[in-house]
Amino acid sequence: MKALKANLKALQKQDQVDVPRIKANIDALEGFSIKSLKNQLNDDNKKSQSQISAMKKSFEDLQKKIDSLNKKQDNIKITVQTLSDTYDDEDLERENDFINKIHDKLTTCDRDINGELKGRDDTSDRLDDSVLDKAKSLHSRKKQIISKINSMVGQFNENNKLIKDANKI
Amino acid sequence: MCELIAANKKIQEECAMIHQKINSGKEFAIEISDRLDKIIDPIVPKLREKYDSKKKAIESCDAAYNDNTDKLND
Repeated sequence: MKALKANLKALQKQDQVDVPRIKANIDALEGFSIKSLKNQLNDDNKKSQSQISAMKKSFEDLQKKIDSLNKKQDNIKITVQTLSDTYDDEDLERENDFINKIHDKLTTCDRDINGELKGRDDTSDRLDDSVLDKAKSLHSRKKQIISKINSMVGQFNENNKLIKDANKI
Repeated sequence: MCELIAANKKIQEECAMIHQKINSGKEFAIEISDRLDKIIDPIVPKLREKYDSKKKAIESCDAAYNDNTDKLND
């Protein structure tokens, strides 16, 4: 009987003191875990944001490089035109030299920058991700990069909205 | 919450992949730029030199031919 009474007392104490204390600890732990996850999420989100900014800047650099290549190419075309005007006599050797050493090289550079000739299908545009990047013109790569950036930024904005909602809870 | 963290990680991976594509494009741009530079120097100057000297040689041949023709006529 004594033992039973002692057990009852212990159980009552457990019910009044220990259980609420354990519940409070569990609540605190849950709160800490959620806070920690929120912190991680916000830190990760900031990291994503700065990565996206750096990537956009890098993309702008690429765009500048493409513009500068087109300008360089235009200047070379002017130089080559002047050269052709200077040597306008009939000379098969010269014509072959100009075609092999200048025009063909310029055409290849133009194709590597802007894809196939304007008005024709750019076959490189149709290449998908599985094809090596080396096979693609800068113009085609740029289009692919823009599409990927847009889709990624869309996903980021969607996540951002959900993160803001989660922060409110 | 964990799903959002995973989604964020995916975005970062995607971002790194795009960055790599941009860098590969930049490298390709440098390669094209080098090719264009080579047209300006040395290709154009070499062609200019070659056809200037060819033009001079033809002119001197013409002059020699004219001289000799004149002499023959005289």
